[in-house]
Amino acid sequence: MGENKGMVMRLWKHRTYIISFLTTIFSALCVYKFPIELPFIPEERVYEFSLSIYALLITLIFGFIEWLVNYYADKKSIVNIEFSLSETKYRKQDIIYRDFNADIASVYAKIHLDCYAQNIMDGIIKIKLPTKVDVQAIESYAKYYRIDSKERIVYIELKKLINNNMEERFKDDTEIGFQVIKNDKVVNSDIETVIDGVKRSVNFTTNKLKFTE
Amino acid sequence: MEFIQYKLFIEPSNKRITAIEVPRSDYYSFVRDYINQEYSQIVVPSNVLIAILKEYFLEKKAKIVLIDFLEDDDNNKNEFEYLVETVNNKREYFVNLMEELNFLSGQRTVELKRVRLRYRLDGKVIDFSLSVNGLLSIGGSGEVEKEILYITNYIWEKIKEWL
Repeated sequence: MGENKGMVMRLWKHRTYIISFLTTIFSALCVYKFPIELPFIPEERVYEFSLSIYALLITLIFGFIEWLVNYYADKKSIVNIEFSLSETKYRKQDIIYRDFNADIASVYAKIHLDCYAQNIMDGIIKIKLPTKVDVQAIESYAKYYRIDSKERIVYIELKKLINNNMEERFKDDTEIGFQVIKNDKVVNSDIETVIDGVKRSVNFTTNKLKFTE
Repeated sequence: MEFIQYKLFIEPSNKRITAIEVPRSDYYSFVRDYINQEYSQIVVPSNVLIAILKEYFLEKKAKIVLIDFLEDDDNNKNEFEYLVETVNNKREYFVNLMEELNFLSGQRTVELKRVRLRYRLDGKVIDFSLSVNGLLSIGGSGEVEKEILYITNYIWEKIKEWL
Protein backbone atom coordinates (compact mmCIF):
# COMPACT_ATOMS: atom_id res chain seq x y z
CA MET A 1 0.00 0.00 0.00
CA GLY A 2 2.84 2.35 0.88
CA GLU A 3 4.59 1.56 -2.41
CA ASN A 4 1.43 2.40 -4.41
CA LYS A 5 1.10 5.66 -2.53
CA GLY A 6 4.74 6.50 -3.28
CA MET A 7 4.22 5.80 -6.96
CA VAL A 8 1.12 8.00 -7.07
CA MET A 9 3.08 10.81 -5.40
CA ARG A 10 5.90 10.49 -7.95
CA LEU A 11 3.41 10.57 -10.83
CA TRP A 12 1.66 13.58 -9.29
CA LYS A 13 4.95 15.52 -9.30
CA HIS A 14 5.16 15.07 -13.08
CA ARG A 15 1.47 15.78 -13.69
CA THR A 16 2.08 18.69 -16.11
CA TYR A 17 3.83 16.40 -18.61
CA ILE A 18 1.35 13.59 -18.05
CA ILE A 19 -1.65 15.91 -18.54
CA SER A 20 -0.15 17.38 -21.75
CA PHE A 21 0.46 13.89 -23.07
CA LEU A 22 -3.02 12.64 -22.17
CA THR A 23 -4.68 15.78 -23.55
CA THR A 24 -2.97 15.27 -26.89
CA ILE A 25 -3.88 11.56 -27.05
CA PHE A 26 -7.51 12.06 -25.98
CA SER A 27 -7.98 15.05 -28.26
CA ALA A 28 -6.66 13.11 -31.23
CA LEU A 29 -8.87 10.13 -30.37
CA CYS A 30 -11.96 12.31 -29.98
CA VAL A 31 -11.28 14.07 -33.26
CA TYR A 32 -10.91 10.73 -34.97
CA LYS A 33 -14.02 9.19 -33.40
CA PHE A 34 -16.30 12.20 -33.05
CA PRO A 35 -15.31 15.02 -35.42
CA ILE A 36 -17.37 18.15 -34.83
CA GLU A 37 -19.14 18.83 -38.08
CA LEU A 38 -21.18 22.00 -37.97
CA PRO A 39 -22.91 23.64 -40.97
CA PHE A 40 -20.91 26.86 -40.71
CA ILE A 41 -17.55 25.06 -40.61
CA PRO A 42 -15.99 24.29 -43.98
CA GLU A 43 -15.17 20.59 -44.40
CA GLU A 44 -11.41 21.19 -44.70
CA ARG A 45 -11.45 23.04 -41.32
CA VAL A 46 -13.34 20.34 -39.34
CA TYR A 47 -10.14 18.64 -38.15
CA GLU A 48 -8.43 21.72 -36.72
CA PHE A 49 -11.71 23.09 -35.28
CA SER A 50 -12.47 19.76 -33.55
CA LEU A 51 -8.94 19.45 -32.26
CA SER A 52 -9.08 22.94 -30.72
CA ILE A 53 -12.45 22.30 -29.07
CA TYR A 54 -11.48 18.87 -27.71
CA ALA A 55 -8.09 20.14 -26.48
CA LEU A 56 -9.86 22.98 -24.66
CA LEU A 57 -12.49 20.66 -23.13
CA ILE A 58 -9.98 18.04 -22.02
CA THR A 59 -7.65 20.68 -20.58
CA LEU A 60 -10.62 22.06 -18.60
CA ILE A 61 -11.55 18.59 -17.33
CA PHE A 62 -7.98 17.83 -16.19
CA GLY A 63 -7.71 21.30 -14.67
CA PHE A 64 -10.87 20.66 -12.67
CA ILE A 65 -9.57 17.27 -11.50
CA GLU A 66 -6.28 18.88 -10.40
CA TRP A 67 -8.16 21.59 -8.52
CA LEU A 68 -10.33 18.95 -6.84
CA VAL A 69 -7.29 16.90 -5.76
CA ASN A 70 -5.52 20.00 -4.41
CA TYR A 71 -8.67 21.08 -2.60
CA TYR A 72 -8.92 17.77 -0.74
CA ALA A 73 -5.14 17.63 -0.18
CA ASP A 74 -5.36 21.02 1.54
CA LYS A 75 -8.13 19.68 3.75
CA LYS A 76 -6.04 16.64 4.70
CA SER A 77 -4.29 16.73 8.05
CA ILE A 78 -0.73 15.49 8.36
CA VAL A 79 0.72 13.76 11.42
CA ASN A 80 4.33 12.70 11.04
CA ILE A 81 6.57 11.10 13.63
CA GLU A 82 10.29 10.99 12.90
CA PHE A 83 12.65 8.97 15.07
CA SER A 84 16.22 10.01 15.68
CA LEU A 85 19.31 8.76 17.51
CA SER A 86 20.07 12.10 19.08
CA GLU A 87 18.08 14.93 20.50
CA THR A 88 17.28 17.80 18.09
CA LYS A 89 19.12 16.12 15.17
CA TYR A 90 16.75 14.83 12.52
CA ARG A 91 18.10 13.60 9.21
CA LYS A 92 15.02 12.26 7.42
CA GLN A 93 16.25 8.66 7.37
CA ASP A 94 13.77 5.91 6.47
CA ILE A 95 15.25 3.47 8.99
CA ILE A 96 17.06 4.35 12.19
CA TYR A 97 19.30 1.69 13.74
CA ARG A 98 19.55 2.13 17.50
CA ASP A 99 22.25 0.16 19.32
CA PHE A 100 22.80 -0.22 23.06
CA ASN A 101 25.49 1.03 25.39
CA ALA A 102 25.60 -0.57 28.85
CA ASP A 103 22.21 -2.14 27.95
CA ILE A 104 20.70 1.34 27.54
CA ALA A 105 19.43 3.13 24.43
CA SER A 106 17.81 6.55 24.15
CA VAL A 107 15.14 7.15 21.54
CA TYR A 108 14.06 10.60 20.38
CA ALA A 109 11.20 11.50 18.08
CA LYS A 110 9.77 14.65 16.57
CA ILE A 111 5.99 14.79 16.16
CA HIS A 112 5.12 17.09 13.28
CA LEU A 113 1.52 18.27 12.96
CA ASP A 114 0.13 20.14 9.96
CA CYS A 115 -3.59 19.97 10.47
CA TYR A 116 -6.89 21.12 11.86
CA ALA A 117 -7.25 20.52 15.60
CA GLN A 118 -10.70 18.97 15.27
CA ASN A 119 -9.29 16.24 13.00
CA ILE A 120 -6.75 14.97 15.52
CA MET A 121 -7.90 15.97 19.01
CA ASP A 122 -8.96 12.40 19.88
CA GLY A 123 -5.85 10.89 18.31
CA ILE A 124 -3.41 8.70 20.22
CA ILE A 125 -0.03 7.69 18.83
CA LYS A 126 1.09 4.30 20.15
CA ILE A 127 4.76 3.39 20.04
CA LYS A 128 4.89 -0.37 20.57
CA LEU A 129 8.23 -1.69 21.78
CA PRO A 130 9.66 -5.20 21.49
CA THR A 131 9.44 -7.58 24.47
CA LYS A 132 13.25 -7.69 24.75
CA VAL A 133 13.39 -4.15 26.08
CA ASP A 134 11.84 -2.27 29.00
CA VAL A 135 10.93 1.38 28.64
CA GLN A 136 11.39 4.35 30.98
CA ALA A 137 10.48 8.01 30.64
CA ILE A 138 12.99 10.84 30.36
CA GLU A 139 12.05 13.43 32.97
CA SER A 140 11.94 16.46 30.66
CA TYR A 141 9.62 14.70 28.18
CA ALA A 142 7.46 12.72 30.62
CA LYS A 143 4.66 15.32 30.43
CA TYR A 144 3.95 14.45 26.81
CA TYR A 145 3.24 10.74 27.15
CA ARG A 146 2.16 7.84 29.32
CA ILE A 147 3.99 4.55 29.49
CA ASP A 148 2.39 1.16 30.01
CA SER A 149 5.42 -0.79 31.22
CA LYS A 150 3.71 -4.18 31.13
CA GLU A 151 2.41 -3.75 27.58
CA ARG A 152 5.59 -1.90 26.53
CA ILE A 153 3.63 0.87 24.83
CA VAL A 154 4.26 4.62 24.87
CA TYR A 155 0.95 6.49 24.48
CA ILE A 156 0.99 10.05 23.15
CA GLU A 157 -2.36 11.81 23.34
CA LEU A 158 -2.36 14.46 20.62
CA LYS A 159 -4.72 16.72 22.55
CA LYS A 160 -1.86 17.25 25.03
CA LEU A 161 0.29 18.68 22.25
CA ILE A 162 -2.15 21.22 20.82
CA ASN A 163 -4.64 23.90 21.72
CA ASN A 164 -7.94 22.18 20.95
CA ASN A 165 -9.68 25.54 20.47
CA MET A 166 -7.69 26.35 17.34
CA GLU A 167 -9.98 26.47 14.34
CA GLU A 168 -7.52 27.29 11.55
CA ARG A 169 -4.98 24.97 10.08
CA PHE A 170 -1.75 25.05 12.09
CA LYS A 171 1.75 23.59 12.11
CA ASP A 172 3.54 22.43 15.21
CA ASP A 173 6.56 20.31 16.18
CA THR A 174 6.99 18.56 19.52
CA GLU A 175 10.00 16.52 20.51
CA ILE A 176 9.76 13.54 22.82
CA GLY A 177 12.33 11.12 24.18
CA PHE A 178 12.43 7.98 26.28
CA GLN A 179 14.97 5.36 27.27
CA VAL A 180 14.93 1.62 26.92
CA ILE A 181 16.94 -1.02 28.74
CA LYS A 182 17.33 -4.43 27.21
CA ASN A 183 16.46 -7.67 28.99
CA ASP A 184 18.06 -10.08 26.55
CA LYS A 185 21.59 -10.48 25.31
CA VAL A 186 20.70 -9.97 21.66
CA VAL A 187 18.02 -7.54 20.57
CA ASN A 188 17.30 -7.24 16.89
CA SER A 189 13.78 -5.90 16.83
CA ASP A 190 11.63 -3.20 15.26
CA ILE A 191 9.28 -0.85 16.98
CA GLU A 192 5.79 -0.32 15.62
CA THR A 193 4.13 3.08 15.55
CA VAL A 194 0.40 3.48 14.91
CA ILE A 195 -2.22 6.16 15.34
CA ASP A 196 -5.79 5.65 16.59
CA GLY A 197 -8.81 7.92 16.99
CA VAL A 198 -8.17 10.41 14.18
CA LYS A 199 -10.43 11.28 11.25
CA ARG A 200 -9.96 9.56 7.91
CA SER A 201 -8.60 12.73 6.40
CA VAL A 202 -5.48 12.41 8.57
CA ASN A 203 -2.40 11.22 6.77
CA PHE A 204 -0.07 9.51 9.29
CA THR A 205 3.53 8.81 8.33
CA THR A 206 6.54 7.62 10.29
CA ASN A 207 10.05 6.36 9.73
CA LYS A 208 11.17 3.06 11.23
CA LEU A 209 13.37 2.38 14.20
CA LYS A 210 15.17 -0.87 14.75
CA PHE A 211 17.05 -1.90 17.89
CA THR A 212 20.24 -3.78 17.15
CA GLU A 213 22.86 -5.62 19.18
CA MET B 1 37.64 -6.12 49.58
CA GLU B 2 34.87 -8.35 48.29
CA PHE B 3 32.22 -6.72 46.12
CA ILE B 4 28.70 -7.99 45.66
CA GLN B 5 26.73 -6.97 42.62
CA TYR B 6 23.06 -6.08 42.91
CA LYS B 7 20.46 -5.18 40.31
CA LEU B 8 17.98 -2.45 41.11
CA PHE B 9 14.35 -3.17 40.27
CA ILE B 10 11.13 -1.29 40.84
CA GLU B 11 8.90 -3.55 42.90
CA PRO B 12 5.56 -4.76 41.46
CA SER B 13 3.75 -2.44 43.86
CA ASN B 14 5.46 0.51 42.06
CA LYS B 15 6.22 2.04 45.43
CA ARG B 16 9.92 1.41 45.97
CA ILE B 17 13.16 0.22 44.49
CA THR B 18 14.68 -3.00 45.68
CA ALA B 19 18.21 -4.37 45.17
CA ILE B 20 18.48 -8.05 44.25
CA GLU B 21 21.83 -9.83 44.31
CA VAL B 22 22.92 -10.79 40.81
CA PRO B 23 23.72 -14.52 40.54
CA ARG B 24 26.84 -15.68 38.73
CA SER B 25 24.72 -17.50 36.16
CA ASP B 26 23.17 -15.92 33.04
CA TYR B 27 22.47 -12.26 33.84
CA TYR B 28 19.67 -11.78 31.31
CA SER B 29 17.81 -14.91 32.46
CA PHE B 30 17.95 -13.51 35.98
CA VAL B 31 16.57 -10.15 34.75
CA ARG B 32 13.76 -11.80 32.79
CA ASP B 33 12.82 -13.96 35.78
CA TYR B 34 12.18 -10.83 37.80
CA ILE B 35 10.38 -9.08 34.92
CA ASN B 36 8.09 -12.12 34.74
CA GLN B 37 7.35 -11.54 38.42
CA GLU B 38 6.28 -7.99 37.43
CA TYR B 39 9.40 -6.23 38.66
CA SER B 40 10.64 -3.45 36.34
CA GLN B 41 14.19 -2.62 35.41
CA ILE B 42 15.35 0.89 36.12
CA VAL B 43 17.53 3.27 34.17
CA VAL B 44 19.42 5.59 36.53
CA PRO B 45 19.61 8.83 34.52
CA SER B 46 22.61 11.16 34.54
CA ASN B 47 20.94 13.81 36.71
CA VAL B 48 20.29 11.20 39.41
CA LEU B 49 23.85 9.85 39.23
CA ILE B 50 25.10 13.43 39.59
CA ALA B 51 22.77 14.00 42.55
CA ILE B 52 24.13 10.84 44.20
CA LEU B 53 27.66 12.07 43.62
CA LYS B 54 26.78 15.37 45.29
CA GLU B 55 24.90 13.76 48.17
CA TYR B 56 27.70 11.35 49.05
CA PHE B 57 30.50 13.87 48.53
CA LEU B 58 28.89 16.52 50.72
CA GLU B 59 26.96 14.49 53.28
CA LYS B 60 29.16 11.43 53.68
CA LYS B 61 32.47 13.09 52.79
CA ALA B 62 33.01 10.45 50.11
CA LYS B 63 36.02 10.26 47.85
CA ILE B 64 35.20 10.04 44.14
CA VAL B 65 36.92 6.99 42.67
CA LEU B 66 35.52 7.09 39.16
CA ILE B 67 33.17 8.93 36.82
CA ASP B 68 32.58 6.99 33.64
CA PHE B 69 30.69 8.18 30.54
CA LEU B 70 28.56 6.37 28.00
CA GLU B 71 30.26 8.12 25.09
CA ASP B 72 33.86 7.22 24.24
CA ASP B 73 35.35 10.68 24.27
CA ASP B 74 39.02 10.80 25.29
CA ASN B 75 38.91 14.56 25.85
CA ASN B 76 36.05 14.28 28.32
CA LYS B 77 37.63 11.27 29.97
CA ASN B 78 40.97 13.02 30.49
CA GLU B 79 39.33 16.23 31.63
CA PHE B 80 37.20 14.48 34.22
CA GLU B 81 40.02 12.26 35.45
CA TYR B 82 41.97 15.45 36.10
CA LEU B 83 38.96 17.13 37.75
CA VAL B 84 38.30 14.11 39.99
CA GLU B 85 41.96 13.97 41.03
CA THR B 86 41.88 17.69 41.81
CA VAL B 87 38.66 17.38 43.80
CA ASN B 88 40.01 14.48 45.84
CA ASN B 89 43.07 16.57 46.74
CA LYS B 90 41.22 19.86 47.27
CA ARG B 91 37.56 19.28 48.07
CA GLU B 92 36.64 22.92 47.45
CA TYR B 93 37.05 22.24 43.72
CA PHE B 94 33.94 20.07 43.85
CA VAL B 95 31.87 23.03 42.67
CA ASN B 96 33.89 23.10 39.42
CA LEU B 97 33.23 19.42 38.87
CA MET B 98 29.52 19.86 39.50
CA GLU B 99 29.31 22.84 37.15
CA GLU B 100 30.97 20.88 34.38
CA LEU B 101 28.83 17.78 34.94
CA ASN B 102 25.58 19.72 35.18
CA PHE B 103 26.42 21.66 32.04
CA LEU B 104 27.21 18.57 29.97
CA SER B 105 24.28 16.65 31.40
CA GLY B 106 21.93 19.57 30.71
CA GLN B 107 23.18 19.77 27.12
CA ARG B 108 22.73 16.00 26.84
CA THR B 109 26.05 15.90 25.00
CA VAL B 110 27.32 13.28 27.43
CA GLU B 111 25.61 10.84 29.72
CA LEU B 112 27.06 9.22 32.78
CA LYS B 113 27.59 5.50 32.68
CA ARG B 114 28.86 4.87 36.19
CA VAL B 115 30.00 6.57 39.34
CA ARG B 116 32.14 4.97 42.03
CA LEU B 117 32.49 6.37 45.54
CA ARG B 118 34.37 5.38 48.67
CA TYR B 119 33.73 6.65 52.17
CA ARG B 120 33.84 5.71 55.82
CA LEU B 121 30.78 4.98 57.88
CA ASP B 122 31.42 4.74 61.62
CA GLY B 123 35.08 4.27 60.77
CA LYS B 124 34.41 1.39 58.38
CA VAL B 125 34.98 1.59 54.63
CA ILE B 126 32.12 1.41 52.12
CA ASP B 127 32.93 1.34 48.41
CA PHE B 128 30.21 1.26 45.77
CA SER B 129 29.67 1.90 42.10
CA LEU B 130 26.30 2.58 40.52
CA SER B 131 25.65 2.23 36.78
CA VAL B 132 23.04 3.74 34.50
CA ASN B 133 21.60 0.23 33.93
CA GLY B 134 20.79 -0.16 37.63
CA LEU B 135 23.74 -2.35 38.58
CA LEU B 136 25.05 -1.61 42.03
CA SER B 137 28.38 -3.09 43.09
CA ILE B 138 29.12 -2.63 46.77
CA GLY B 139 31.71 -3.84 49.23
CA GLY B 140 33.36 -2.88 52.47
CA SER B 141 33.52 -3.57 56.14
CA GLY B 142 30.60 -1.29 57.06
CA GLU B 143 26.88 -1.94 57.20
CA VAL B 144 26.36 -2.60 53.50
CA GLU B 145 22.65 -3.50 53.73
CA LYS B 146 21.88 -0.20 55.42
CA GLU B 147 23.73 1.68 52.70
CA ILE B 148 21.92 -0.20 49.92
CA LEU B 149 18.62 0.82 51.48
CA TYR B 150 19.80 4.43 51.65
CA ILE B 151 20.83 4.44 47.97
CA THR B 152 17.63 2.78 46.72
CA ASN B 153 15.42 5.14 48.75
CA TYR B 154 17.42 8.13 47.52
CA ILE B 155 16.97 7.14 43.86
CA TRP B 156 13.28 6.44 44.34
CA GLU B 157 12.69 9.88 45.85
CA LYS B 158 14.40 11.47 42.83
CA ILE B 159 12.41 9.66 40.14
CA LYS B 160 9.04 8.69 41.60
CA GLU B 161 7.30 11.90 40.51
CA TRP B 162 7.82 11.48 36.79
CA LEU B 163 8.43 7.77 36.32
